[in-house]
Amino acid sequence: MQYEEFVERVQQRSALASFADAEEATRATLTVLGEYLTGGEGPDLASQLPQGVAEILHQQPPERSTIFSLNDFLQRVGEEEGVGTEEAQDHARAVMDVLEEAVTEGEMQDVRRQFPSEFDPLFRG
Amino acid sequence: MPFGEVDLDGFLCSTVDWSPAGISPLVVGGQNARHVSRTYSTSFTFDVRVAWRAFGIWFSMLLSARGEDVLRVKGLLNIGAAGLVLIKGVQHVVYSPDHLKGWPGADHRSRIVFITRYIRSEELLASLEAFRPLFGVGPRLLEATAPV
Repeated sequence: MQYEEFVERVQQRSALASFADAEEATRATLTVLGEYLTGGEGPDLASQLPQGVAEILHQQPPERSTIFSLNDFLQRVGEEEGVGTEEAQDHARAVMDVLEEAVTEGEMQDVRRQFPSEFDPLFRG
Repeated sequence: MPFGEVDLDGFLCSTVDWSPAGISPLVVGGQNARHVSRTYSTSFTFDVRVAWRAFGIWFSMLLSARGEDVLRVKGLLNIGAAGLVLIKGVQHVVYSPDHLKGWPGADHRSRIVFITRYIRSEELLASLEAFRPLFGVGPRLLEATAPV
């Protein structure tokens, strides 16, 4: 999957008005995902993503993660994107949906396993 | 075993080869059959209050031995008359425990979730079981990552 297709799919699923808005939602969610993932999982995931998306996950995560709940995650996405928590949840869910289509099943399982069940609303069934 | 003594061999699971090579790989997905999973999620409870100091010792020992592989932990511990304690950490970074005044709901059982790398749920629980004499209670598994 190429960068444009990734962002277009995010736009379709989140009903965002423009490609640029979908790019911003993608950047925000993947930035926070990169802050959350540990144990080298961010770079592992990035290795399967297209240029333009992968770089976001290669950013250095903070030394002290502050994300321990779904609400923490959505608040951070909202801060990054400049939207409220409800909107952030719609956008984050759309990005996770597309992420699942862009990488192998096994890689997505590894990502999913780093999230306790309270994060289920971020993922497909 | 007399009260106060800890079976360190049991805690450290000397019968288990802790090295990644000693753990059979968890193979995920039909189309992706060569992908080897290494991440496990384990949530458990203690049905009655747990001895906070003993839990702290167990947790410190776990982090000392395998901190890099404890990817994330979060939990609420019922420590009896002293109330409840919120713990959270990422690998070796553990936040100061928060002593909370009230429970968020009607369920007053301890609830802890560990996200680990190379440490299986059964190994984590066996390690906790070794501390049963000090905790005053054993763990009960609530949810674990099931091999796909």
